[in-house]
Amino acid sequence: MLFSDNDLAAYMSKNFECAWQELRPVPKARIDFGNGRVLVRTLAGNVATWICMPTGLSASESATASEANVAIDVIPALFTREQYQARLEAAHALHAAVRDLDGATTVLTDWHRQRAALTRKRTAHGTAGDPHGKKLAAFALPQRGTPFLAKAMVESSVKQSFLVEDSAYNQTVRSPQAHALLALPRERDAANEVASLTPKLYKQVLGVDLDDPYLGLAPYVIGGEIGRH
Amino acid sequence: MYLFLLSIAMSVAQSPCKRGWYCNCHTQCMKQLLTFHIVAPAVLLCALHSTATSAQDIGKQVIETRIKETLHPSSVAPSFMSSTPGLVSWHESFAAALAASRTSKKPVLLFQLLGRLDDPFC
Repeated sequence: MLFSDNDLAAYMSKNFECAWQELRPVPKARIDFGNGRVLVRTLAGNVATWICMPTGLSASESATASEANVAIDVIPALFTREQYQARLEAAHALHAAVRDLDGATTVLTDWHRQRAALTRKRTAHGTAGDPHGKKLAAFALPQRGTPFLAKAMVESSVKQSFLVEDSAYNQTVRSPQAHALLALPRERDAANEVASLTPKLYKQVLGVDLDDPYLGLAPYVIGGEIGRH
Repeated sequence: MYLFLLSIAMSVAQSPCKRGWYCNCHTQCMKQLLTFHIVAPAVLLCALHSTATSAQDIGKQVIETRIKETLHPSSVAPSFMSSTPGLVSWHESFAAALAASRTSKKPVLLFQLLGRLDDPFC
């Protein structure tokens, strides 16, 4: 839906080299009604948008090194079209500022540290001035324990035009966590920063453990403890 | 319509000879000649033409069959269910986007998800 917007799609195609990546197949619930009709729905899933830039590559380096990159910013989960493009524009400007710097990683970690602190400060001051504050309070979404509620909320939000509220939640709750993740000292041996940070982002920010084959759904669909194999 | 013409032809053939202008004798009259050598072949030709015409009119059946097969969940092929991932110009892979970025100097946008972006169930 987001990528079907003409203006946003044109902006993305013009200013970024875009690619999409399937992290793993999405779990699906399949209900066979027995009369030839089968209902298929996704159970869980979440998205992330990474903005990154390639690092130097010599001709002798392997194909794996061709994915060497530095993560500039990440947009966790879904946002409204306006907020999504605003985040992309900010990341684009950040990329332009650090693209030719030698110590780009240090500048980026400092920037994310400041952004995380700034967002926490705004959140700590309350949401009285936020038009979505009351709606956010009604959500009362725990940060841990119900990781897949977010997916249901996203789908419900889209269907019921509640994307604004979900976007506000991602902006006030998940974005600071994402900034904090990118503010940590980068692993020096992680040439592919996006690949290195993705499991952490999904587990710590989006509440989806990619290493769990049941994605944490085991207690809900088959019983048992979280992470049951 | 062809059945109607055939019934007329049979009724003419079965009707008694009235020694009219078309009849030269009692056993081989023009009426029989007209019925069995002209009308009946014409009706048969019409019937054959009808069969050929109906054979050409299979589009509806084909369409209906395909729609039924399409609507049946078990017959839906994955390739048919794939959809275009929006209006964005996507590179084939992350590596391809990074390679393009080295030339264009644009940042890379990597959209990660569980499932496929070109899958309607994602």
